[in-house]
This record gives sequence, C-alpha cells and structure tokens, in this order.
Amino acid sequence: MLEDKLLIWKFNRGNRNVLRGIYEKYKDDLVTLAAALLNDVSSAEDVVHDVFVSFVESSRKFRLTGTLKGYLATCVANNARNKNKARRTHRSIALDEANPAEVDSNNPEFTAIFGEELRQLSWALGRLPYEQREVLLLHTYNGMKFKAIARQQSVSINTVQGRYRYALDKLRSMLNGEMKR
Amino acid sequence: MRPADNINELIKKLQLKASAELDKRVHDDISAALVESEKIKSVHAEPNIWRTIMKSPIIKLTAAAVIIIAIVISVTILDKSVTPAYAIEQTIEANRGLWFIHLKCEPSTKGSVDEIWAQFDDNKQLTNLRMNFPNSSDGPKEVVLHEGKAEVWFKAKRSIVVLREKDILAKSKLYHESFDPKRIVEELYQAQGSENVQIEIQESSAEGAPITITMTKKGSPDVRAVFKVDPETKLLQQEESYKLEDGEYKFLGRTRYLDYNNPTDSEIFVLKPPADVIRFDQTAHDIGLAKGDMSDEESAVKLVRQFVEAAIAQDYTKASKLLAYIPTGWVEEQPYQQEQVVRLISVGKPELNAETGSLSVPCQVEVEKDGQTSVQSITFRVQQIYGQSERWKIIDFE
Repeated sequence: MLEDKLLIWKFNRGNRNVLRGIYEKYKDDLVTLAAALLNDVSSAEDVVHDVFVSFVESSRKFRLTGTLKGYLATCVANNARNKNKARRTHRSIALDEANPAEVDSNNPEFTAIFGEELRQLSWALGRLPYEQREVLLLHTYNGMKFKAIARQQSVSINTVQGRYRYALDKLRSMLNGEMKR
Repeated sequence: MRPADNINELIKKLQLKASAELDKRVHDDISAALVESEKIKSVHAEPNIWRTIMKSPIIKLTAAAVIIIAIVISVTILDKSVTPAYAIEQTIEANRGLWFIHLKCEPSTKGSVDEIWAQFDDNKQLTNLRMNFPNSSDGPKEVVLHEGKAEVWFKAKRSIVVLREKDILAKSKLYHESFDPKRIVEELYQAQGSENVQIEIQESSAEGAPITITMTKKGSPDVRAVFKVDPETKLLQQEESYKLEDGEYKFLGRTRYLDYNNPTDSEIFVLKPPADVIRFDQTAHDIGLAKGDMSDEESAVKLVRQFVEAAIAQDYTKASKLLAYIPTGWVEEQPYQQEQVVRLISVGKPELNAETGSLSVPCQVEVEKDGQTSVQSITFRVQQIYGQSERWKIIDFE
C-alpha cells in the first residue's frame, strides 16, 4: 500500500513512467476481473487497455482518494459495463446470436478462461444479472467495500448489499444444482 | 467441501495472466503518450519564454540589492576606440523573463554544491529549488525546496528527511542567491562607476561567440570575475572567478549556466529515490515519542508499547505519528483489519545495532482473525529522529 501511495504521488506530479509499474502490478487482477465480468478474455483485455489509456490521459488531474487497486477495479467495471451494454444492444439487433448467459456449463469457453477447476463457477457467474455479478466480483475478488461499490454504481448501499446477497444465493443454488446433476 | 459452500474462496482463486499482446499495446500507448506529452511541453515552452521576456513588467530588484557587496567604483572601458553594442542592462532586461535556471559549479569540493536547479513564480520569487551536494559531511545528498519544505535525500543513508525548519530553508535560499544570475548581473551593473572596479566588455566579431565581461576589483586581495554572455539571448553563460596571488590571477571556480527556462525534466524538483529509501516526514506535528528523562532503552520500550496499544485501539493516527514518516492512510491499510491485534503479551529487552544506532525491540502480540486468535512475534526497530535527538520513532517492524 505504501508503494501505491508513492506511485500515485509520483503520478500526480506528472511522472507518467510510473504507469508502467502500476500496469505491471495490477494487470493480471484487472484482466481477471474484466474477464469474469464479460466472460470474454479478448474483450477483457480491450477493457484493461482502454482503462490504462484513459489513465495516461488523466495524469494531470488524477487524484486518488481511495486505494489504487479499488480505483482501477472501478474503472474496469465501468468500462466493462459499457461494453456489456453495447454487446447487449448488438445482440438485440442480431437476434440469431446466442446469449452466453444461456449457454451450457460444458461450454469449452469457460474452461478456456479459468481452467477446469473453476469452469462451473465461471459458468454460474456468467448467468448472474450483470449488476449482481459486478457487486460480487468487486467485493469478493477486489475487496471493495459496499459503500465504494454503491458510489460506483450510483445506487444505495442497501441495493448493493441486496445485489450481493442475491448473487451469492443464486450462485449457491446454481452450483449446488450443477453438482447434483 | 462443495463449491457452493465456499463461493468467496472460489472467486478469489480466479486468476488470468495478461497476454504479451496486451502488455505490448499498453506499454506502446504509454510510450506514445509520454512522447506526445513532451512535444506539447516543448511547443508551449518557447513562446512563453519570449512572451515573458518581452512583456514582463520591470520590477525593482530590492532583494538582490540587499546582498550586493559594496563595491566602490570606477569603470574603465579599456578599448575606448570601439563602443560596444552590448550593455549590461540588456542582460538585466533578459533576466526579467527568467522562470527557470539550471547551473553547474566547478570544481566540486567537499561540502560544496555542484549543481542547482531553480524555478521562480510570476513575481520572480523562488518557488522550487534543487541542489546537489556530491561530497557533504553526510555523504552525497540532494536538497529540494518546495512549498516551504526542505527535503534532504541522504543517499548513503538511503533516507529522505522532510523538514520545515527556517534556518535550513534560509540557508538553502542563500546558496541559490550566491549563484543567482539576476543578482550577479545586477551587482555587475551596480559596480559600473565604482572607484576600485574596472569593467571591460569585449564583443567578438565571430558569429555566435560569447560577449566577455571582465570585472577586476582592487582590494585585499584583488579579485577578478570573467563573465561570458550569450550574444543572442544576452543571458549569462558562465562566470569564472580568480584571486590575485603572487602577481597572478589564480582560478577559484566556475559557474556554468546550462539551461534557462527550459527544464529538461518536468519532475526535476521531485526527488526520485529507489523504492527502499525511507522517508521521514518531520513536518507533521508531534511525531514519534518524546524521550524525556527516560533512557534510550526505556523510551524504545515505551514507544513500542504505545504503538501496539494504538494498533489494538485502531488509532491509526497515533500509530502513524509514532512511525513518524508513514501516512495515516497507509497505516490504516495495513493488515490490522484482517489480523486485528487484540493484546500485547510482552515487550523484550531492546538491543542496540551499533552500526545504525537503532534499537531492536522484540515483542509478542495476540492477533485475531476470523474469530481465531494466535500469537505473533514482531520485532520493532526504533531510532532517534533526525535533527530531534529528544524524540524517538519506529522506523521498521517485521
């Protein structure tokens, strides 16, 4: 954490080279978050790339108020949400295209993304409503507090906690059901 | 254990690696942004320099006048057959547009500064200053003045101390003033007409060759300064000083003015130490612990006790003060929230590290995590605060 503070301190003073250090430190976690949100590694990498491009451009005005990891995760989540919306719009036009949330857990895509061990989890995550998936991943995977997620999603903290509970219940239900099959 | 019983643990296991292609895309974009940023800076810099030089209002050089050496008077232009086109006033005028200077001093001697960068605000007041002392009594060190604070980077000791002490700030400014081209040229201008001073100005016919101003002051001893002035910008390029000994002027030192209004590094006033350099911010109030009548060992033990008690109480502000240099936010983000310290079990006898002067204080604490408690051993290192021998701080723990 001290390292992050120092990185942002330098970044705020115009040292854009520290971006390389920040990218190297968080790239895997951010790609993982984006891939879990979008169920698509290629789109996830696009999201992470776009986040860092924006980060470069914001170097003169950026002021970190929370943790660097939380800030970047929020950026990735916002960007992934926009991508998801665009994709849904595209799908509603191309009606014949399959919805990944509907696909079977045996779909090799899930195995390809996170490996066999987590195939069921990634399949179940993919079936959660996007907002619930986002809350669950930001809180559990990125350690963001509900209050921060509420700010990010522009909803009340109660709504966020509700989404989290629903997400856990649905996942539990899906995974138990899947295990029983 | 079924997956559904441990969803959070499963989610934490999700892990992908960014591809080499993404690495390349991001690093290329950062490089492109850096290049673009530098271009924008250089495009904007040049008009600003000249706009500032040409339009800046004339201000009184009162500050410089205070420290001007009383030089008494007589100007002799030796080559009276040629009236030089150059006049010192032109350099004074050119100096009015200065907002950044970079200079080097030669030779580098023990304790002396060898390189200075300075920046001024619109009112010509010094706002940022960086000085390099390659061979000080503290070993190599760099000093940066910014926003009323002095940051001293002791390179051999791998530490940075942040101070707000008036005498250090004042001394640093004096260092700068002794090399300030505005002050030097103003002195030169004032010296014209002084009885004991001769000033000779020579302009070369060779294109681009500097204008040479030689000032000789009769006194005890006689001294001489030779200035080189850029014929185009009229700014000072160099000053050499000499002292008369045994009938000869012997070289004392040289100041070379390397850059005016063109900082090659936008972060020159930001120290960039390696990651392992420790920062001691002494500008915070009540940092560390006052030793009072206690022995070093007693104060070390008390310091550790207070820190652990602050951690137990989750009083991160107090814990931060005892650490002396770590921001409260950082202390708060330490794993206390995951592994809450609940009890101080014991504090051992401090051991002196003769090499560093620090004391190692072992202690045992009880921590709680997920409803379960365990005993952890922590060793604290405590040390006197730089420049405040009556106060002690924690410098590390593991």
